[in-house]
Amino acid sequence: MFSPLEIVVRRMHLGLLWSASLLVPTGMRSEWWREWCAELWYVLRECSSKTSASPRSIREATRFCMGAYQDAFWLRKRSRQNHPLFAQIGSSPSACLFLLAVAFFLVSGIAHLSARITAGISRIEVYPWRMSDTGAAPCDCPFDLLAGRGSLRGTQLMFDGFSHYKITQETVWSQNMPRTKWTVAEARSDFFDVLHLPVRLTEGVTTGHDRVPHLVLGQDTWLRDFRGKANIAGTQLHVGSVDAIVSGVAFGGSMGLPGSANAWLLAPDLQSGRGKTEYVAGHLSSHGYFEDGRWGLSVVGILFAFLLFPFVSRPSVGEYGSSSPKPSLARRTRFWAFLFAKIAFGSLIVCVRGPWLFGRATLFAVVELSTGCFFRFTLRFGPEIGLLRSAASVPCLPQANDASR
Amino acid sequence: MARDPGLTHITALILQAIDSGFVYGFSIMEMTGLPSGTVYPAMRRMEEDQLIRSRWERQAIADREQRPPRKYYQLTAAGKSASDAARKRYPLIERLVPAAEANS
Repeated sequence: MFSPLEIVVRRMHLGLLWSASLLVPTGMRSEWWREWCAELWYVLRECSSKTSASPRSIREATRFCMGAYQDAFWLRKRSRQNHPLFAQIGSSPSACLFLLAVAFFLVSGIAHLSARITAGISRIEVYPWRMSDTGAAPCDCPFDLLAGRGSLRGTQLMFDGFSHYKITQETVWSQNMPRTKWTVAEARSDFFDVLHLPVRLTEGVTTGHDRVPHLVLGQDTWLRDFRGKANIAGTQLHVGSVDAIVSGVAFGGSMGLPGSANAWLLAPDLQSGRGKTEYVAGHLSSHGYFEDGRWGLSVVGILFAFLLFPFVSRPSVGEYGSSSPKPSLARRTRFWAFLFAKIAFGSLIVCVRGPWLFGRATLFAVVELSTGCFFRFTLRFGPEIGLLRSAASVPCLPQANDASR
Repeated sequence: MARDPGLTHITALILQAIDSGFVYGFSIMEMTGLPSGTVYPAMRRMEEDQLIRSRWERQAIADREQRPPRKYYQLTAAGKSASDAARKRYPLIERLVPAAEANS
């Protein structure tokens, strides 16, 4: 009688053998499987006679099974050698394309399947901007990407912001309000900004209360529990163990977000582990990430990478043989012109568009990087171009073309 | 058509083990100390080179002893001469692989 552990281990070993058997050519598979299963039986018997299901015996049996892969690979290789036509097809471009196509469809299938599985676990709620001639207007209703992406067909939409919130049940009360059970969504302070959700925030509430969590009431809750009180902003409410200041009223699409929250508790540092249900929400727009000019940073970043490339690599203009310690005047002139042109062009971009494209930190980093690269370049090629003559006496290793001379 | 078998140390060791009475995969592994991933491909190669031949044990015998049937290996004539050549080439090999006491 086997213990549960032994049964699990036995199945694991058989699983290893089975997966290895898939590598064996079909004609030999049944014989191969029979032999390895029989041998595994003897290995397990031998191992269990030494020690009963000890880690060492399990390890030995596992090592034995791993050898099956080598055997299977050998048989596969042998089979290909014995059937050169198959080997030829297997290495031909058409076969490679076929395999790529199979891999593509396989990956697509898995991705499609996993999307469906993910859909069952969590939903992604997104808010598309409804485009019109007059401009963009937020859609009033939440849009379920997974369920309703068909309606987006033909429209190129991209995510430009993600945030998350979690739903908790809290008792809310104040001096003028009895204890009421609310569904509260806890989110980061920038939740409404990131998702472009419409909210009437009252000015002046945030000043002086930065560290106090803000509470954005749902429109229905505001009308029901506060009877649409106009000067609700600034009211202090106890939300569970937290004191919060009412900073505005959310309306429109935010009320359709999953969780049916009565209010949104916004705090800079969202505590984790309290809420039972957590949601991730994203915002879609037709411009996506590139909407607010960040594309400029990306483009100029790539441009700068190209600009800096000669400074961090060895340009061909500096390739001189060791037999010519000083390059010709034409070469030196070309080099210096090239260098100054690069620096001038880079500086021009930084000066003209720098403040717009970069923050101060980025600008500082670029300048520092440029300076560092310049020094590196000078130290590396200075002796060769006559800049650091004292360092030119350092012996150089002969280059390949010199050795051939 | 059998290829010219390259008499490697592993081949010599396995030939000696089979010649000494260790006639199935696991016992050869145990005696030579070689891993399964080396022994089984080597034996397939040797079988292809007609140095050894294999046969399955009769099912009735295995059933009687309540165990799965084994695949036994034995030397061919070419294998026997290769084994002799191996012993000459690797004199210490006989000491490494003693004769099996009970060949099951």
